[in-house]
Amino acid sequence: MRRKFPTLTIPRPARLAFLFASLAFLVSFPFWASRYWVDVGFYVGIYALLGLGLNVILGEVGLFNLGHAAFWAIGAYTTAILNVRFGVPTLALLPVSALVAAGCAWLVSSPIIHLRGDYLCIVTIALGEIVRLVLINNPGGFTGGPNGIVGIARPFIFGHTIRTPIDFYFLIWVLVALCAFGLRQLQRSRIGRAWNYIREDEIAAAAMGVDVRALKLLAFVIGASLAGMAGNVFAAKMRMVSPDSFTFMESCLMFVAVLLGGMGSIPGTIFGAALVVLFPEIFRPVAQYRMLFFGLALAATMYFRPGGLWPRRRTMEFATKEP
Amino acid sequence: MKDGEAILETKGITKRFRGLVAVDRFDIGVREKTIHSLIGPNGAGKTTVFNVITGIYRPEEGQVLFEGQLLNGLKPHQILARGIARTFQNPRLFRNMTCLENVMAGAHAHGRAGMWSSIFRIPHQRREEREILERAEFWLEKVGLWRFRNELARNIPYGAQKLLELARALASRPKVLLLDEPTCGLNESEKETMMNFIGSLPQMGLTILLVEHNMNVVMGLSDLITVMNYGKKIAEGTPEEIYNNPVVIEAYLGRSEGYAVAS
Repeated sequence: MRRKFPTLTIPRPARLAFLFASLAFLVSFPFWASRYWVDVGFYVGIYALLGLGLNVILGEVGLFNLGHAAFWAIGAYTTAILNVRFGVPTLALLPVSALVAAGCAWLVSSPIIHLRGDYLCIVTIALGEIVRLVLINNPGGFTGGPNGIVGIARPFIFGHTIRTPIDFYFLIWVLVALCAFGLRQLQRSRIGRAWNYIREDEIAAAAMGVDVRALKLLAFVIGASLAGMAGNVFAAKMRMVSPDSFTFMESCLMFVAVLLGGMGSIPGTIFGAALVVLFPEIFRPVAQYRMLFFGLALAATMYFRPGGLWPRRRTMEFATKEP
Repeated sequence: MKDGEAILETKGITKRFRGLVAVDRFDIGVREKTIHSLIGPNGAGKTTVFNVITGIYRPEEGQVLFEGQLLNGLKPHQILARGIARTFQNPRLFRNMTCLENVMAGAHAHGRAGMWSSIFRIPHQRREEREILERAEFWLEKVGLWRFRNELARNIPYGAQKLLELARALASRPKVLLLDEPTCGLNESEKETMMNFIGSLPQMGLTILLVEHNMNVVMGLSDLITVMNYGKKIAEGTPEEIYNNPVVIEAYLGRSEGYAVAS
């Protein structure tokens, strides 16, 4: 039983003001924060992009995907292999990584897409592990085994090489902003509503004319392509990739980011990603207990706000006039 | 069976669940712009017939024909697009979405906009969205739920939920509407509203196949009644004929001692 919480109704000007304030904060942040915190900001961006992708699958359609790190890994390794072995410019590989991750998602999710709830969850965990183990086992000498691949070239754009933390900070946040905008457009369209119909009641959705299979696959493909892009930027920033970066724990953290923020909420997911990255940073002084606090905070959130910290408020979205 | 007139027909459909034969070589022909009721004791297989027609179940045998075309093997969303919509016995609403969004679901199948046109809001997509919204508003108003348009479906009263499901089905512009116990769980005045509304649908060009336990509703609305028991058709006729049919009375009461179906 879900408990009902009073919903705040925030007027539109206030919301716009908030949006601009957060944009101003994000843009100005690297100019007054230390290098260390700019890097933290970069990781918030990476997790925001991963979270937004997972949010489509988990939040919008309600498919329990606990193997999302696999698509992140596929994006990162696509970039690494094509750049180091074939010399393709790193930034040009951004769409390629997205497409390869999306293609893999389509291939692996096609046979399992009809599974429900916990069954799908278990299969996605297995997929995540399979990808990681394949990378470790170095098939055909392509993935470099446990050591991964080193020496990824720095990306450049219009003759400017992206090298400093500030450069990378802006690269990832521009991507996050573009993706968030695109997803918002989708969310408030026929496609987004159909995703939510499936989440709410799959049988009723099918009976109302929603092509359940096609829309679930679309969600997986979009979610994975965002993870693929995150993989590309991550590989470019680290200048190396290794299987250790793409563990089950990472999939869990993305899952937590979506749950914490509010399933199906775009600002919520970005907020959730920020919490997931910032919490361990803030609690560094109590180093050995920080994961304990993290777990407690998570449990408390789910208990007191089961819909997430920043849920989507649907009742506000259609300001319709009298007929 | 009056062939040629039937818009929706089943021919010898059989649906088995392991050993249990839920529907056994069942025929029904629903004529255009009529209200055709399907009645029978609990567990007779009425809802299974609905699920077979709408493609949720696949029949082991038999055919489902709609406007003379075979529906077997089509998926539920394809069957809706052909013009058959349904409601469920217990409302299966999209509970955490607003009433307006629920009704918009009905218009989904008639939209074409895909991923890119939705992201870039091309003119065609905008026009389509406006049409979906207008159609949803029209039906929401028609069933008298305009005041709930921005409420979440789970927060509105049960009677309103039943009406909302009906509006959702109607927004898909169906030719045939399958209603599974539309008055079940409603109070007397809500029943009245629902009955009048259903009764007005054939004039709008709709054909209704109705499953219902409330005999006042069935007798008052139906043009034709089909009675089933143990998955088989046991009688068919006008309300008058069914009312006096000893086989029907026996099916409901076990033996013929008058007519006393709960209403």
